[in-house]
Amino acid sequence: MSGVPVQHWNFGIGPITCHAWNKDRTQIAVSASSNEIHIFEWKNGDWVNIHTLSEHDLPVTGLDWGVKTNRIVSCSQDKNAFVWTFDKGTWKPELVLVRFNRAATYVKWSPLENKFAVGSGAKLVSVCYYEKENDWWVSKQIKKPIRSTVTCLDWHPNNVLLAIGSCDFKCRVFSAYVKEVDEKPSPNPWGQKMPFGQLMSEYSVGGWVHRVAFSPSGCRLAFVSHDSSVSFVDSTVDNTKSQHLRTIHLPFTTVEWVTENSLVTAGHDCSPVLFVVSQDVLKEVCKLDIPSAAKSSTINSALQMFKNIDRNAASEKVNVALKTLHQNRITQILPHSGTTGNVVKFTTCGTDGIIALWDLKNHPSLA
Amino acid sequence: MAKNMQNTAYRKLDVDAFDPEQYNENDDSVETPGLGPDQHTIQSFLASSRLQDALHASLLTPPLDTKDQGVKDRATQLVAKVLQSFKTTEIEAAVQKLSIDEADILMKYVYKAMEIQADAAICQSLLAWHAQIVAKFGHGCIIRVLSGRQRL
Repeated sequence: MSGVPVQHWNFGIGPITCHAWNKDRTQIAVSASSNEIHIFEWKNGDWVNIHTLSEHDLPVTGLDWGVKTNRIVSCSQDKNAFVWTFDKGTWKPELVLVRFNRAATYVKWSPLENKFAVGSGAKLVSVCYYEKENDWWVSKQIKKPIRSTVTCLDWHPNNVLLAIGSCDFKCRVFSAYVKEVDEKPSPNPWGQKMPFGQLMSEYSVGGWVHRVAFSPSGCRLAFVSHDSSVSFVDSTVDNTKSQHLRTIHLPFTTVEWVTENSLVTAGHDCSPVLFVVSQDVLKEVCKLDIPSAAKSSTINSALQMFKNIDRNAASEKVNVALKTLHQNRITQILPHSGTTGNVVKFTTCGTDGIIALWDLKNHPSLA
Repeated sequence: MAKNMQNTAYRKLDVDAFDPEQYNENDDSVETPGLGPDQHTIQSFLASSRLQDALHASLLTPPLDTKDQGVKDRATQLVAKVLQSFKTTEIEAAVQKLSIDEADILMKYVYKAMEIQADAAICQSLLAWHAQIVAKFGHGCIIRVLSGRQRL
């Protein structure tokens, strides 16, 4: 893999389901399909495991590092979520009353980090906030009309609206206004009145939704689903209509906006793909993984292969490596450097146990 | 240690059936009159060997929302007949002229035809179609047949 210009690291802990960066990107929290969360620190040119958080009983499904308050929130198949605070050299867990009877699937801090949302297999989302009187994280639940497992969610930059993708082939935008901690939201293109749990809009797709993301301004919404499509809503144009761009690729499992007009997706094709919005239409630009030079194996037909075996009395070692950097599904994209609205570098993690750092600087399509 | 660990009878209980908010994904589809492609138009196109027109006509109004499996099967047989009238060499050019919507529908017919008309001659033609559709519309086209809820 030395020919690949993209920086990447193998953490040697098996398939990575999710990862999260600290504020200055010197530490990374990863979960490796187990009940443990590993925190690595960049020391002397290598990642060193400095903490292992093992409060969950079953595989961790979601992680988010609140960089403003330096708190990590995690959720797991064991139906629980924990808020981790760093105190005197150790990470201390605090149990959250999420009230699930099925596995938790995804978790995300709100932009102000005064609350977070957890999705679950129980067809609901818990919006959790800290109650000072009881010294306890409590939750309010959004139930209707979600009709299947919640797979993903994303916060609008106004700290109130919440986009939720689920296995009932729908993506919805809800209000997650909590009067105990939030200031009253101002009207925006998604709607005027925003009481808690209000359904603002709903979109259907041809597959279960894998990931949803608000654009940096919060006016646009993108989501990817298992019918290999990328969907796009511009609320300033029409918040009832979504464009579905069906692609030739295998399904995407994750999506992230890099600027207000461009987004990156990745998934079962193992390569990030760049999309841009031009004149209110979403278009595919290119794959960002430039395949390395032709592999040594030049066998191009079965006949040729058997001829070679016949001639050399030995079979050439079959090369099963993919031409992409990631050798398996990419599970998550996170912004790494740059600002919100102009991401310069982003990282991907995958089932192959690799975390890769991609550089968008000088990309011709983003000029 | 619990004594009756070998006893797994309780697992046969379908707990979801007791959920008052249980959701059956099939409830969503609305029963619509099963139309299916128009047989007469297609027959007349085939008779005058306007194959491309017959192909486009056969991909109109697929009976995806009907609950009557007979309608779906008849439509599939009709489309399979159209597909078979093409020579192997003509398939590529025909696929190039399809829109992505038509290709997604055609792929559903191809898979359904493989299921219900599994004899050697038909399958050979279907596999040739399958290969050409994948060449133009990629793996996404296959995924949409597998993940879609509207089936033939």
